[in-house]
Order: sequence, then structure tokens, then C-alpha cells
Amino acid sequence: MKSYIEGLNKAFDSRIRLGIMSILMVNDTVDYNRMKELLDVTDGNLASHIAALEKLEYVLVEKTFVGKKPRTTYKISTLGKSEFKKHIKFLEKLIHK
Amino acid sequence: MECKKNDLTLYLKVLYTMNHNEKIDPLESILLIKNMMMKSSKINSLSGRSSILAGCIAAVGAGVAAYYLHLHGFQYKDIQSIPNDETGTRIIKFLIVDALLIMILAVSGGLYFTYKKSQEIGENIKSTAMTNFAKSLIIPLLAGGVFCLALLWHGHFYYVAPMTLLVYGFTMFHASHYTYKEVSSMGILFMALAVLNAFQLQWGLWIWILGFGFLHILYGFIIYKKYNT
Repeated sequence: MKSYIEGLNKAFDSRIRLGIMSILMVNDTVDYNRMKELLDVTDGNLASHIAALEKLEYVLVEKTFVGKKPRTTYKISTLGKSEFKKHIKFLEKLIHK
Repeated sequence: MECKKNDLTLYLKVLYTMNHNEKIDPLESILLIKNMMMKSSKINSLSGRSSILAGCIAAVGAGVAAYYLHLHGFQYKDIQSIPNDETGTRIIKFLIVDALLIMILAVSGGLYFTYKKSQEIGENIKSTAMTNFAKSLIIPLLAGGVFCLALLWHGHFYYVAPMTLLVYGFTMFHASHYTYKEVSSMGILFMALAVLNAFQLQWGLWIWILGFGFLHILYGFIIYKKYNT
């Protein structure tokens, strides 16, 4: 039983983080507003989850300016991609057990 | 009583997971992942209804063309050898106007239903997925459209039908990447009809109706049934 739990990455232990990773898996870059709209979350909530994923180096954050407006875009890292794939594989294994 | 108790536990569980965003079970996680991947990269505003409508418009438009030819004592298979006199020019002009009308009506019907659906399900029509989808439609169709005008210009009337089928097939096959996967097999069928038509040029009108009319209606129904839109 212990080994099953070990296979699941704790970093993806919430709906919002699963959502963020799923979106970044299939889109090259996604900006802040689009992410917020897709996940339907508040600013604070999104920011804290993104920060956690950024700290683990699963997500790359890029801040640029469009005119005078700041624009934040997110991208998945190679590490994030492989970890998330592992996570999905493991979830599938759990279901098919 | 048992049922009520279960309902309550389920309700509490949902409330808990909503508020804590934690400990969701594997099946729910996979569903969430799939749903988010779909929602963020594919267009879900296309509706089966617009495809059915486009199919009907195409069939009626092609029927009108056949009737007009018949009125002047011609059949579709004669269009390559239509006399270069006043009647001939009038027939060709009528066919071109008919084709343009079909296109304008079908496209505006499609745009209308897509817009309505996107409002209903709250899909952003300015999203990246939508922009990619629009690009993958507009660019090849525009190029194909101008190519067909060139065919008309040179008087190769026979080749217009297979060319429109081919261009549309390519476009649908490619654009299916951004929307329902069924669109890809529709694209392949269009290409197959185009190739058949290229070998049997005289069947052009019927193959065209089979493609733009029947296939549109068929796939419209499939999408309508499957996605309920």
C-alpha cells in the first residue's frame, strides 16, 4: 500500500495544480488572464499555487511588458512535463487496479 | 434513510474537496486533467446544427444549379463544352453566383451558431485555441478559393468541384487538431470524394452534393448526438 502513495507526486495534490499542469501540457504558453479564466480561481489562489510549482521548477514564469501593462506568461519545464507524465501514468495504474 | 445519509456524506465530501482542493481520487484527477486539456486547447463551440444547416444549403444550392442547367437544356456533364455565346456566359455567371451564395450562407450560418454556442458555454472567442483554429481554416480555404477562381478564369469548369472538395478535405483534416476528432475522418472522406471526382469528372455535381451536402448533414448529426450541441 505504501508504494502506491509514494508514486503520487505531492506537488500535484490539488485540483488547481492539476489544472495548471494540464493546461500547460497542451499549450506552449499561457498568460495569467487566460489561466485564471480557465481555472475559474481568485488571484491569490492562483498565485500561490503557481509559486509552489515554480519553486519546484515545474513551471517557468516569464514577466514582460506590453506597452505599459505587465504581462505574465507561464510555460511548462522539461522536468515538469516528465513529472506530470509520471503522475498521470500512476493515476491510470491506480484506476486499472 | 440510508439514501439520505449517503447524499449528505457525498455533499460534505464535495464541499470538503472544493474548499481544500485536496485528496481527490485518481479517477476524478484523470477526468479533471482530460477536461482541462480539452477545454484549454480545443474548440467546443462548433455545433452539429451549423454543419447540418451548411449541408442543407449546399444540397439546395446544387439542386438549383442542376435545375437551371436543365432549364437551358444542359446537364452538368456538358459544362465543359458549354457554347461560348450569350446563353453559355449567362449559365456560367449564374453558377458562380449560386456557388458564392451557398458559401456566404453556409459560412454565416456556421459563424452564427458558433458565436451563440460560445456565449452559452462561456468559451472565449478570442482564445489562442480559437485563433489557431480560425487560422487553420481561413488560410488554406482562401488559397483554395483563389485557385478555383483561376480554374474558372481558364475555363476549366470541370475541375472546380474536385478542387473545392480537395481543399475542404485538407482543411478539415488539419483543423480537426483544434476541435472534435470526428472532423478528421470527415476531412479524409472529402479527400476521397475529390480523388474519385478527379477520375470521373462528369459526376462532379453529384459527388459535390454527396460531400458538401450529405457528409455535412451526417457529421452534423454525429456531433449533435455525441456532444449534444
